[in-house]
Amino acid sequence: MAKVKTHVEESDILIIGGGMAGTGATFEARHWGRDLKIVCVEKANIDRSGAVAQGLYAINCYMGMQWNENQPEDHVRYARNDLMGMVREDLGYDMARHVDSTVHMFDEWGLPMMKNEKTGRYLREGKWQIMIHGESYKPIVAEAAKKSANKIYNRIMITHLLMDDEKENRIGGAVGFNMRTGDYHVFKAKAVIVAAGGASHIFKPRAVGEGMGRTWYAPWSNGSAYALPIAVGAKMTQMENRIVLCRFKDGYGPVGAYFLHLKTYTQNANGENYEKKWYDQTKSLVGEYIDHHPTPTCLRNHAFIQEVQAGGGPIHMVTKEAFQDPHLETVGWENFLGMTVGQAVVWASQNIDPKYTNPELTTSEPYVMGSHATCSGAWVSGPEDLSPPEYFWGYNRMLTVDGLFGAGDTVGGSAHKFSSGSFTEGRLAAKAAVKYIEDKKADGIKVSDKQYKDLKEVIYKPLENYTVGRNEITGGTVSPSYISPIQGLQRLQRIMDEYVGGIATNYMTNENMLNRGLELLKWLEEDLENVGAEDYHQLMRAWELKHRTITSQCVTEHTKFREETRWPGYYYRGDHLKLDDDNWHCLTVSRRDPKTKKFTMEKVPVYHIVDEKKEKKAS
Amino acid sequence: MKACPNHAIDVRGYADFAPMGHSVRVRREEEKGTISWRIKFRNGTEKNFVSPITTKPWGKFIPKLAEEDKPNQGEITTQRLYTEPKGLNIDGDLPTVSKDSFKKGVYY
Ligand SMILES: Cc1cc2nc3c(=O)[nH]c(=O)nc-3n(C[C@H](O)[C@H](O)[C@H](O)COP(=O)(O)OP(=O)(O)OC[C@H]3O[C@@H](n4cnc5c(N)ncnc54)[C@H](O)[C@@H]3O)c2cc1C
Repeated sequence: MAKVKTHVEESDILIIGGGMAGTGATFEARHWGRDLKIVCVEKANIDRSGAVAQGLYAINCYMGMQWNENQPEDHVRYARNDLMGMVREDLGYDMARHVDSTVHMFDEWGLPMMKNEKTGRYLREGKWQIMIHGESYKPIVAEAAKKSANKIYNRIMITHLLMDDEKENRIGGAVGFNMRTGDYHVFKAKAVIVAAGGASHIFKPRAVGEGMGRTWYAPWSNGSAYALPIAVGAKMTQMENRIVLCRFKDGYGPVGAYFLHLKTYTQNANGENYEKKWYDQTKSLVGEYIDHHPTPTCLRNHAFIQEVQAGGGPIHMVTKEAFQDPHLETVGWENFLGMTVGQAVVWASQNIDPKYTNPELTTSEPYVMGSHATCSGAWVSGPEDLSPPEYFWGYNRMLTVDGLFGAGDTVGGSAHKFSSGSFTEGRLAAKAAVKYIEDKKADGIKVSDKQYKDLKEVIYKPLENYTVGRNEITGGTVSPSYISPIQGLQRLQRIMDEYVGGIATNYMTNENMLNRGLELLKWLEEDLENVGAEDYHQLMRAWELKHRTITSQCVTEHTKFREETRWPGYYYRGDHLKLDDDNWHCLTVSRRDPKTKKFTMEKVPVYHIVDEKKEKKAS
Repeated sequence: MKACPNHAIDVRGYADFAPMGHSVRVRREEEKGTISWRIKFRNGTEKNFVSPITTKPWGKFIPKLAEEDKPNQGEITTQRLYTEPKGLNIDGDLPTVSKDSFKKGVYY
């Protein structure tokens, strides 16, 4: 270990993760902070990193304010309806009022946007989505970040945040290692923006062999966005609100363009519209929420899950009609080729030509994220002009740790941001971070050598565990004193799957199961002191696993706290099967004490900043 | 996965759910601004598609902000982002909501 080189870099703004939110933050930080030193650190290579690595076929969040297609308040109504009432409306409104300027820049930069031939406007896939040829979406936004940053580091995984030794609860930077060279990197910074994406692979995926990489959310999204802030005591919100997606079977190809643009629809194996069948049963659980338009995503999942349990599966997407139109057929295929090529591969392998065969759908394992039809993540301040007092503490998108900002999947409460909204939120966080520095809030930060030297010992320990432990092996590969990262991951996924509402129990859990889950997670946490890594790549796996584990503990604590089933179809609390607006029309907020590692939970009021009027008419 | 010297890439599906005998081949050409795909089914059916990847010479229209005009004095305290409000293509400034209308709790 003595051989590992240490590099210390000082900067003003440090951006962790160069995905959609991170590239947006890096770009905007340069506009407001002309003379600041801006550094972005990415675990992979920003040209193809993050959830948009393979490209996208639609920008899922665009208002079209210029044509009065939608206004920000419409988006607030939409997102809160989809999330069964529970969102941070201030954050959603704020993102929505800025997102159009982001999309207009993408157009200018060369992202191929489809146009409606009649109107000349962007071609709508649905009310919020516009269609693109987006195979190169990520390299294009990466270029913008590269032109703005003083330095971009690829292949460095951030494992811990650094804290100011002088002033309590103030950020000082972050540390990590280069997974190619093994070098230790210390980034001292005045403000830090966490933009490290969501979390897949915390619940057991449906494919556990070679195909375990084919989850819907990016398999490399490992929960750093949550684990880094949680570990320094930042508050989190709505972490119970994991998402389950209805997707094409095996390849997890998205269904948005199919439903919205191709107008395909679902049916059970007998050709029936099964959603109608479950209306009364759903109403008995959630009341009038089932009558909302559009039907909330979780409730549509609920009907799917019930129908399969009742023996009506498989569920199919009826494509045979739409695919007779050659243009729509092309759209149907290209939708996957430029976004989720694995789905095209699955269809080719199984001779599924949607023109002649209606493809099967499935519901996925759960994921944790803050940018989709779900809003788990950090508890952040909103903008001054839109946020009630409980939601505002000085700087937009700042977490409850001074100088620590978040954007994209990192940020909780602001659902339905998607790629464009995540980039936009990165821009908002960056502007606020510049202001934080200009206001001299970051003056006098001290990060002692001891702080980062101690962390170095911790970070490289898995290599040592391996080197020492393997001496005990006399045959084969099994050591009595360490477990490998993949073994730890499989244990984590089983715990989450069986106790916290994964596919094994059809997304069902209850307090007893959650308590058992927490006990097993605690032992896993202890055992991860003994994880062994044979090289730097495995060291990354070890740290990804540790981040997933902290994230999972937080998800489990939140799931236990909310004693109702707010989102049937995402998960069920069997001991509280009904939605309970009297007691739980609120946001859940947690904090893990960095010293005791104990979580405390609280309820925070939900504020509705726009009324319902138009929503009713607009169905 | 198989990559050839001309940057075409061939993939096969994951063994846990993809029967063999199929292939999806892709070739991405930045100079041409296109990406081409060839899909071969297990039963021999073949489909070809081509999509644009950019509408502009690669990277040329992405600004280098360090060389652009500086933001106006005091703009840092507004809610505006780079290019706004002009870049929104709307009349007037950014929309906002009056705090008097906020409601706490169940009713909205
Ligand atoms: C299959 C699929 C289809 C989608 N379809 C659409 C669509 O059609 N339209 C749409 O608008 N949106 C779509 N989305 C959603 C969109 O991709 C996300 O909302 C968006 O990418 C979230 O941005 P982010 O920056 O938070 O996360 P990401 O873009 O995932 O970026 C996170 C970055 O952080 C890096 N990172 C993680 N941990 C660390 C660490 N410890 N140290 C350093 N770096 C780290 C990652 O490598 C990654 O680059 C889709 C997503 C998927 C997976």
